[in-house]
Order: sequence, then structure tokens, then C-alpha cells
Amino acid sequence: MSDLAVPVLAPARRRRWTRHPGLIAGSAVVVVIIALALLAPVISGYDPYDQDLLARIVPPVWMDGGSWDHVLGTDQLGRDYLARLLYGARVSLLIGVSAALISGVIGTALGVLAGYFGGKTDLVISFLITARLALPVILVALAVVATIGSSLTVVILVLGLLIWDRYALVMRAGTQQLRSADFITAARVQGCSAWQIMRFEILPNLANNLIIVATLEIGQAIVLESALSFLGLGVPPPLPSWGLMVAEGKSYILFDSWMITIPGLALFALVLAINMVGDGLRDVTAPEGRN
Amino acid sequence: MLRYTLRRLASALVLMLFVSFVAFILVFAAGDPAVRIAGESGSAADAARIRAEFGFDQPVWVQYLHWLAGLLRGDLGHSFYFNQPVSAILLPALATTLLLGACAICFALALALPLGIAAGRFPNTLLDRFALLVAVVGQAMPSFWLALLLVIAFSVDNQLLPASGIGHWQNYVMPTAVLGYFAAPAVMRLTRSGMIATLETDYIRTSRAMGIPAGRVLRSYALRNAIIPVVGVASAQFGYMLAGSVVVESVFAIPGAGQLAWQSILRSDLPMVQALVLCFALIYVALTFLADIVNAWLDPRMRG
Amino acid sequence: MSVLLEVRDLTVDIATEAGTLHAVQGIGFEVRRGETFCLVGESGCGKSLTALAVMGLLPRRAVRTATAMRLETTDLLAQSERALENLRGRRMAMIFQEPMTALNPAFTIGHQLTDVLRTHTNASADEARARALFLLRRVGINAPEARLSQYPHQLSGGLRQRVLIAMALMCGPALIVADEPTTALDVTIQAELLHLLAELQREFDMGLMLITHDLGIVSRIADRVAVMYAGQIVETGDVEQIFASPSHPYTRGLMACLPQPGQARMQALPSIKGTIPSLVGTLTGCRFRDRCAHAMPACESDITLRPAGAGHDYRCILPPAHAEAVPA
Repeated sequence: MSDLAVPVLAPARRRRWTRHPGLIAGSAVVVVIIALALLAPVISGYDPYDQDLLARIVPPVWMDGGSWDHVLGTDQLGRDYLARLLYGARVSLLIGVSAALISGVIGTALGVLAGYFGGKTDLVISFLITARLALPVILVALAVVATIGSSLTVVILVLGLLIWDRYALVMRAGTQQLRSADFITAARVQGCSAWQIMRFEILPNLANNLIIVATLEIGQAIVLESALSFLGLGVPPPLPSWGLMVAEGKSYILFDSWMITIPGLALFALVLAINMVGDGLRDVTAPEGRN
Repeated sequence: MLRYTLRRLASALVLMLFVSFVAFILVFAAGDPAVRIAGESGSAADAARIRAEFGFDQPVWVQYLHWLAGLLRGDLGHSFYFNQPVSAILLPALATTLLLGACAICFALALALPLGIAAGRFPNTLLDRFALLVAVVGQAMPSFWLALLLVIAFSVDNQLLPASGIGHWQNYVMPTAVLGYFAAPAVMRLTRSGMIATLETDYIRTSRAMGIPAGRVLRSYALRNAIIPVVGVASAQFGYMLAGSVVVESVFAIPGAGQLAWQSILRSDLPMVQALVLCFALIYVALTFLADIVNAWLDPRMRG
Repeated sequence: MSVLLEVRDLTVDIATEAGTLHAVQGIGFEVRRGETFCLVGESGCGKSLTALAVMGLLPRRAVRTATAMRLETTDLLAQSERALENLRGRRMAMIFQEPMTALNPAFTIGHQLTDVLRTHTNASADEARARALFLLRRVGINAPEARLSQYPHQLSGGLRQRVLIAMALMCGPALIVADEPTTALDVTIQAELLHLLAELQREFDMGLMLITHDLGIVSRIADRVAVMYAGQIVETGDVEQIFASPSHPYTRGLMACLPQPGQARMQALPSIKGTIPSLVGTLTGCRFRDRCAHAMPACESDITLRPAGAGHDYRCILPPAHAEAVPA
């Protein structure tokens, strides 16, 4: 949270984009995973919900007992593992992006309002942010999902309503910096309303910061969802969630640890790539080298 | 210094009050807790009886005040599931989690501080890239996956460490590593950037110009300046770590507060859940308050 | 007066994305004990880098070469970093431009002062404290006992600079290098501190190398002067020679920019047109020719320093020393 430099960022120069290895590698992996998720039905002919109780826990093709029928094997209900992995990518991406969007709207609104108006507004909103930070997010999410009942929508909403703190902090700091800038004063002198200034002057200048935070929040949302699903209070089965797959694989850890390694690896790869994109964007738009 | 402490204490107390209210409200998040406790097989009469018995028929704010009054007396409520005072179950579990957390934060600091200092001292070298790699991997890796991988490596494939329980010190090794690795990246990054920034300041240049040996400049001066923001982050990370311990405790079957919280949520043991959420929040507020005080002591500009 | 610091052919190159920046190109000068030597020039002429090069405090990207750089009998070029650390603060000390940021905010004044002495000698804590008190009084700080336990943020800019001067004197160095020590301070405090520096230099028989862009300061305090432009020394001599008969067009331009008492009001202040040239890549000829009213084809080739009088050299092919300064 606090390793984000908060200066208002310069527009990225084309040359630096193409020279940053982390940014390129991360973006490539993200694009590949998105493509795999979209092309899931093409790559794997199986339906991820199709159970085949005669072919349960078939190992992947490179292990003893594996076959090309099921390249990555099957899970404890005979469902094709590759299919569940690919469709699971859809779930992770959908939840990550949606939650990041919702929390983005909330956090940005709070942050800009606090940074622009200062005074009592800032006091109240800062207090809210600190209160939110004090709450144990996972426990609160678990409790709410347990209370309401789990579904894709619930998970997205719960995450979206909980992880807006980083947005709020960064937008608040950025707005505070801009508030004293001359062009803002000029806009006020011209008679622009506060809403107009926030919408047309401040937000566009904070777009870079916003994109970077959004990228990192997508990663955080994905990790959080996987933790919730792992604990049984995330996406409800039979939906394919990587976290859920790891949880299901836990019982087979002695002999079929691939059931844990594969979805975990997918999670790690996706979040790592997303974080590298976010870090890369920050490097490319920050005035100095990485901080 | 005293005035600053009192001011921070006052705002910490207000914060604690607010989060206590949120923790209390949480369980009323959707619908009638009486109905939920009665379960699917319960009838309307059952729900009504439960409502009266536990006081759910009273207005929410009245229930909150009852609860708050109880808290101030040291009474954390009565567990539905265990049929015992919440504190009897919660406090031992919390002690376990705090012990685990303490070990983990020590591990995190032992990993992150030297790496961050070295990376800040020699930026853009191989060492620096390695440190950043460690941080990036740590921030991307899901803790439950890392935990399970360690279990596979050290318990399943090679019987080196126990996979569950808390009988011996060996039980704490893997959970400490996972939990600590979770907190290390943020601390490492901040130490590194703080070190880089400090080493470029005019006052460090003055020290060097006065002939103070480079090693001592780093240890006795730069470190003291660079560490200031790290204190705040480290304590916040400790707070997050405790809250996030539910995953690690679940994998390693550690009977700590995180595990207790998860199970209580599944069992709809509302008083336990309320008390646990409150505890974690209070610990966070207390930690950040202490961090602020330590900061003020370290940075003379912040006092009074 | 014996030679304290001798520098010959000092070059400082900095690698940049656009090529090598030749910030300092083959300059040479001497500072004698008991003398104040001023290095004058505008921003970007390389004077600060010269000072850092002497102290061995150049940033990592900067490369320093010289045929000679001696502090009395010690060859500064041949010293290891550890040996240089030993020299810094003990035999040569530096005072920087910005006092507001030059002291460590997390430590008391007393700690920072005494640490310098105790690093270089085996003075006890009491002895170091006594010396700190003595020097604080000497630099004009009243009731210094209270100051020792204060933190830098509790002192004004002028006071902090006095503390820094005291810090430089803790071990009784022979050479003080002061890089624009008064530029960041009020004009009234400037005069006091310069007066103080001159007094201290005389009292402790030190050599003072003062870097500045302000000719007014030079006229008041300097014994010898070197004028720097675009990384080169364009004129050097006694202060009287420089002010009475400035021979390089740049020096003359600087003189003309000094407001004169009795000057007619509403008269436009003269200035030197143009800006300093780029110092990246290969450089030839007179660096000032683009701004000089007297430029001619012969200025395209490199110009060496030549005498304009006894101990007075300049880097121009024009004849030396017209009676009055001619603005460019």
C-alpha cells in the first residue's frame, strides 16, 4: 500500500514502454491467459461441469496413468482438469476486473472528495479509510458471504465494497497535490463548479495513478477471491474457481499433489503477471527509477 | 511528546469505538440472525423463541450498547456453539495466533530489512534485482498455495516437518515462513526506497564530507533516518498478517483465532464472530497507535 | 605563503544518455595557506563539481582525472577511499550551499558536532563537547550549551550554517572549501557570515576556497580569483587585477552587470546575451564565442591561458586589460 509513490505522474513516453522487460513480459502473460480463457471451449472440448465418475482423478498426461484424453487429468468428480482450469481463468478474471471496477468507483470518489474539499470532509473520509483498514478483510468477507449465501455476484460485490482503500489513499494524495496547482485556481476563477473541476481537471490528471492502482487491485481481488474459495466461502461449487480447485485437491495431497500445484501455479502466474504490468506502468510513468 | 501521544490516543479510542460498532453490525448484515440460527429446519416459533432468548427483538442500537457495556466489563459475550463465555475460548486461541504472528513478523523483518538495506545501498545491481524478485514473488503468491507447497515438500515428500498441530517448535516453522513471507515484500520495498532516498540527502553528504567512514554513515545515521517510515508499515503489516492468519491456520490445522473465526462463521456462532472481528480490529488500531508513538520518538520533527 | 592545494588539469566527465558531458575541462589553480581563493562563475559552469572533485565526493556517474591534485604533500589522486575519509573533516572540510537540509534531522547538534572530532581523534566525550561549545561561540552563537541538545529543525537557516561552519572547524583543517555558503540566506546574514569566514580564515591560518556567482562577495573577501565559464577557467589573478583590468570579455561582461552606485536611474541593466553552450560531445575553440561581441574566425581554435600581467592570466586572443569594462 505505502510503496506506491504518489506524485502525479507524467504521461508515459512511447520509448520507455517498449524498453521495459517487466511490463512486456507481464502484459504478454496476461494477454495469453485472457486468450486462453476466451478460447476455452475451443482448446478443451469438455464441459467443466461434466462429471464422469468412471474416470476420477486421472493424472495429467505426463504422469503414470495419464492419457491424452484428459491432458491435465480429471478431478475427484471426473471433470476434465484442463477445462476447469481454463473456465476458472474466466471466473478469476471476471471477479478481479469487476471487483476492481466497483472498488475503483468507490475509492476514487471518496479519495477525490476528501482531497479536494479537505476540512471536515477529509476528516470524515480519512476516518472511514482508517476504520476500513482496521477491519480484517478476509474475516469480514467470510462473515458476509456466510450470511448472505455465496454466489458469483455476492463475491464480486463483497470484494468490491471492501478493497477500495488503496484507491482512496492514492486519489486523495494526488488530489491534494493538484488542488494547489495554478490551473485549478484558474478554473475556479473562471467559475467552474467543484464537480466540473473534479471531473475535467483533476481526474484526467490522475488517470495514470488510477490505472496503476486498478491493475494492482485486480491482482489483489483475484488473490482474495481464491482465498475465500479455498476456505469454502467464495465462489460456490460447481463453478470452477482456482482457489476452490486447490481446496478440493487438498484431500489428495499425498499422492496427487498435482491437483494442488496446477491451479496454484495458474493463480501465481496470473497475479504475478498483473503485478508486473502494474509495476511496469509505474516505472514508465514515474519521473525517476523504481522506488 | 506527551501532547502528541494524548492526541493520538484520543483518535485511536474513537476509532476503536467505531470499529466495535461495525463489528457488531456485521452479523446483522443480511436478515434476521434468529432465523439463521434456527436453521432451515426451524419454524417461525423457534425463531421467535430464539429472538426473545438472545435479545434480538430489541432495537439494534440497544443491543449494541448492551454489548459494549459488557465489553467494558470484560465480558465478551456468550458463545452459542460452545455454550461458554466467549473469552474462555477466544483468549487461548488469540494467544496462539499472536505467538505465531510474532514469530512471523520477526522472520519477515529478518528477511526484509537486510535485503532492503542492501538493495538500497547498491541499487540496480544483481543484489537489488534479486531483492525485488523476492518482493514481487511474495506479493503474487497466494499464501494457501505456498503453504501447501511447503507441506508437499517438507511433510509429504520428505518427512522433515510436521504438517499440522502446535505441539513442538517444528510445528511453527512452516506457518511462520508462509505468514512472514506474506508481510516481507512491503517492508522490503519501503526499506529499499527509504534507503535510496536517505543516501541521496544533503545531510548524508555532510556526514561523508566530514570524513565519517561510509560503513558508519550507513549504520549509525542513514539507517536511523530510513527506518522511520518502515515502523509504520511493519506494524500495519503485522495487523494484516494476523487478520490473514485464517488461511495459514486452516492449512496447518493450528487452533488459533483465525481458525476459530472461520469455524465460528460456518457455525453461525455470532457472539464469537463479533468478538473476534473486534479483537483483530483493536489489535490493528493499537499497533498503529504504538507505531505512531515510536515514529515520533525516532523523528524529532514530529514531536509537539 | 605555502601552497595548500594544487590542482592541475582537472577534468570531470559525466556519462549521460546524450553522450559525455564535459563538465570541467582541464582546469588548474592553487590555494595558499592564509589566503582566500574565489572560484567565480554562473550556474552550470562546473564550479561546484570542481569542489566536489577536490573533496572526492563526486557522484558515481562522474569520472575525474587530473595530472596533479595535492593537499600540501598528500597526493589526493592516489588515496584510497578510506584514506580520503581520513582526510575529509580533518585536514580539508567542506561547507555546502543549503543549510536547511545539510544537518541530519534525527540527531542533536551536539551529537553531530562531537562525532566529527571523535571520528578523527581520540578525544573524549567531554573534550569534544568543550571544543564544540568553543567553536559555536566563535561562530557567533550565544548560549551554545542549549544548542547542543537541540535538533536542526529548531534552528534558523543562518544558525544552521554557523553550526556547519563550526562543524567544518572541529578538527582544525588546513583547507576549507565553501560552495556558495551564503546564497540561500538573507542578504544581511550573508554579510555577517562572510565576515565570519574571513576572520576564521585569518585566525586559524587556513586556506579558504570560496565558490560563488556573486562578484560583490568576491570583491569583499577574495585574495585571488579564478573566473570559470563552461567548464574552463577563463581568467585568474589577484582580486585587484581582476577588478581593475578584467581582460576576458566574459569577466568584463560580469563586471558590467554589477550595479554601480550613482548609476542613472531607469537605465537598463546590462546583461550578457545568450546562454552557456552545450558541454556534451567534442568541444573546440573559445566556449564564449557565441556570446562575444568580438568573436572572430581565430576563435574557432582552442585558446590557451596567456598572461595579462604578473600572476594574471586569461584565455582570449584579444589584447589584455582595457581601462574600462566593455559589455558584450
